[in-house]
This record gives sequence, structure tokens and C-alpha cells, in this order.
Amino acid sequence: MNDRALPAGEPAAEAALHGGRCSQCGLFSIPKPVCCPACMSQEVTTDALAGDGTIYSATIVRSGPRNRKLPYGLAYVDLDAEIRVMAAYAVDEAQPLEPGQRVLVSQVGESEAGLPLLSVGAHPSAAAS
Amino acid sequence: MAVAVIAGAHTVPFVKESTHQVDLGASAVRGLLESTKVTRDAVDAVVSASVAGGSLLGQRILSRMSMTGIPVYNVENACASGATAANLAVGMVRSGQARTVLVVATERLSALGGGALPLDPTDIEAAHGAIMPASYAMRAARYLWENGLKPADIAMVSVKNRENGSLNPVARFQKPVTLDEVLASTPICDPLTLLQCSPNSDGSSAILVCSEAAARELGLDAVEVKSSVVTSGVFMNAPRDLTWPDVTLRAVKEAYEEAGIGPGDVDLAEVHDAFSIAEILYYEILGFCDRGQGARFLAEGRSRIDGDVAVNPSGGLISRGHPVGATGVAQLAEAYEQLKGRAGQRQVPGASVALTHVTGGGISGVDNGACAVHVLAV
Repeated sequence: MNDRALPAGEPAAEAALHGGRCSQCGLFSIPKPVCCPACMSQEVTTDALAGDGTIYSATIVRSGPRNRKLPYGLAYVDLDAEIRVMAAYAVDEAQPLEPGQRVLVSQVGESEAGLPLLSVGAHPSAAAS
Repeated sequence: MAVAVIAGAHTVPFVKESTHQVDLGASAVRGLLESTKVTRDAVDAVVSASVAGGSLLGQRILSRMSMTGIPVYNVENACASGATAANLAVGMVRSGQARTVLVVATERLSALGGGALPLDPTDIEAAHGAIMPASYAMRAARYLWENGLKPADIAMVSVKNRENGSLNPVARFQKPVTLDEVLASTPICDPLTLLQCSPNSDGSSAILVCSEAAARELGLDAVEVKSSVVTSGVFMNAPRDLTWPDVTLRAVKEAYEEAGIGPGDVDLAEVHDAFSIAEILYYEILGFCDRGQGARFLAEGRSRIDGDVAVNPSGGLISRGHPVGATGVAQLAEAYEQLKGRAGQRQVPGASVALTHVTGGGISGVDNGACAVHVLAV
């Protein structure tokens, strides 16, 4: 069940995370797979999910790959659609992300290998409170 | 089915940087043959493990000693590569395919230039900047949050393991550290600091896996392989509990069943402390303490060499070092030495049952790519 609590008048979070949905068993995957990892059906159609979710865990990477600006944040977000995604976030030292926080994940680009890049942002419900 | 035993072990001291991986492997093989007095012609087959060793590493090592001309297998399974090679050797011996199999596991991570190991750029988590320290840091953050603990509670793993490693002549780090030093070391991925991360290392370790009969004929000191399990992580993109990794849970359950033992029978365990939090989680998964009690188990000294079960008496990955593909065999070598009562100052008193555990790899959708567990006993 989608439990996002949007204030009246706010637009619903966009169905912004692109992937594929299996026509046979309904599993949604990001990125769109060549076949469904659950039932192996090749009938996977392009689809999108809302990015509303809850932080499972988060960290700030302070020492890491040389080709990335440090520090950067990484989080596992459990989407309301019961899919876990990893997403990056801009570090705010004063307000580190913590498990249980409501967030909105959005797609912000593609990697060199063509993979969707996801980012964690504040959830509209948090902005209203 | 033949009974498989380990009948000799030799680990080349793990170091920050060495000159050549073939030399490392050759030193381990030569050291093993010298210590066991086994002649080259008694070896039926060789399984060589490495992650970054390149093509035909086993043959390149063995040709230095004119040991090719027999079946040689080269295997890779991330950090579980060495233990996977041992598992294949055990299977060959049990099935009768071979009587004496030499396992050599070698890694020269210094060739990669240091820092976190590179992951597959076509993996969606790696594309976001995921590195192994971040993966374990998120386990740690979740575990601390769920259990109301502080970073110091898990950082104590490094203090214990550095103390154990100070007693181990093959360990890369042989100097104890204090809790303050661990917490004040360079931040890597919150809440993990540098001294809570296993160091990239170069090293090689070799063991001899034989049938019980072959070991007797060769006059070797043997410990029985009670169980040898390799499994892989199950893919799932739904939320999963990262403080209760299912790949280890399944491998451990299978290993206990195969050996006919339970956690209370284990005298020492070499576990995959790639990062401090991992050892805490494995106390719980291995059944040494209840869920959520791992940090308390550590704080009470129950995982020390003189505790209920000595966990990582070698110093573990954090102190011995982590030349990834070599680690699983080094763990088995430590277990062998402990069960033969040859572990010197770090000897676990009266050790008769040892367990080794490694996990391998970070790919999206599985909690670890591979896991291997062995139980040895005398």
C-alpha cells in the first residue's frame, strides 16, 4: 500500500523511475532486464515506478573511487512498491540520512554504461511538516 | 566415499606489496612440500585460486617447479576463491577422482594500485559509486540503528583482531591498536574507519587435501574435513535484511548438518571480517550468540582466544590482511595449525573443532556473490 501523505494541493510524486515490468509475473526491475529474473519471461515491457520510499540504510563515502568527488552519499531505499534501490545523495553533514526516513527517489541521468542513475531527495510529506 | 583430510599447510607472510604473484604462489607451494616432505610426484592434481591473477596462474606457478603435466584447475569466486578451490579439492578426493590435491591461492592486490577494489561498471549499484566499504557501512549503520548501539561497539572487533594478529608471524599487521586509535583513524564510509577495514594485501597460502588413506601412506599429520560447502547468493530486488545475510545462513546451516555439529561444538572460527561489522553479524549467524547480541558477545570477551569460541585467532582479515583470493586457504591453514596445536602464542587451548567462513563479492540483488564454509576436526 502506498502510504505517502501528501499535503492537499501538492502534485503526486511522478512515476519517475524507469525500468521494465514482466508481463507474465508482474515483477518490476531497474534497469529493464533482457528477461524477467523471477520467471525468465522475455515479455518485459518498459514501465515506471513512483520514487516514494523509506531509507533502509545510508552511508557517506569519504574515501573511495578516484573518479568521484568526495564525499558522496549512498543509500538503500525501500520503495513503496517493495523494491529496494540504491541511490546517491548530496551530503548534508548537519542532517545525515537515517533508517526510517521518508524520501523521494528520482532518476537524474544515465551512467556511461547506460544504467539509470538514481538520487535521493526530500519527500514532499517532509517538506509539509 | 573417501574421507577427505587436510594434511599440510603453508602460508607466505601477507604483506602490503610484493614483487611478483608467481613468486608468491611458488613460495607457498614450495613451503608446503618442504614442510610435509611430500614429493611432487605424489600430487595428483592442483587447484589454483586467484581473483586478479590472470590466465593460467596455476600453471605459471607450477611450471617454476616442474610440477605441470597433471590436471590443473584455475578458479575464481571473488573473496571466496581460495575456499572454493579447497571445496573442489575435497570433492575430488571424496569422489575418488584424486587422492592428493594441492590447493594454492594467490593474490597480489598491490598490482591494482590500492584503495577500494573496483567493481563491475555495468552493475547498477557500482554505477552509483558502490564500493565494498560502503556496502558494509550500510549494514553497520542499520545494525547500530536497530540495536541502539554506538560505532565504538563494533570498532572493538579491530582491537581484538589486531591483538590476535600481533601473535601471528604471517599477519600483515603485528601491532595492537587501541579503541581510540581505531575510531580516530581515517573515515572511510560512515560509520567505518580505516582500521575497521581489512587491508588490501599480497599473499599466498597452500594446503594439501588428501584422502585419509593417502595421508596415512605419506605419513602426514591430518585433520578431517567434516564439511565443505560452497553456495551463491540468491537474487532478489525486494527489501531484504542485510543484518542477517541469507547466503551465510544457508551455507552455515548446511555445514553444521554435514558435520553433525552445532555452534556449541566450535572451538575456533576464522570468519570473513572484511569489515568490523561483518564479524559481529557472523557471531549471530553462526549461532555463537543470540540475534542483536553480537556486540555484547564481543565486549564480554567471549570471542577472544580464551573465550567461549575463539573468533579469528589469526587476526582475521583485519590484521592478517586480505589478499582476496588467498584468504579462504589462509583460514584453512590457520585452522589446520590450531587443530594440530602448532599455533604458538595464539593457540586456542584444546582446539578440536574449527570452522572457516568466507563470503565473496558485491553485486546488486544478492547479499554476497559467494559463500564458503568448512568444518575441520581432530
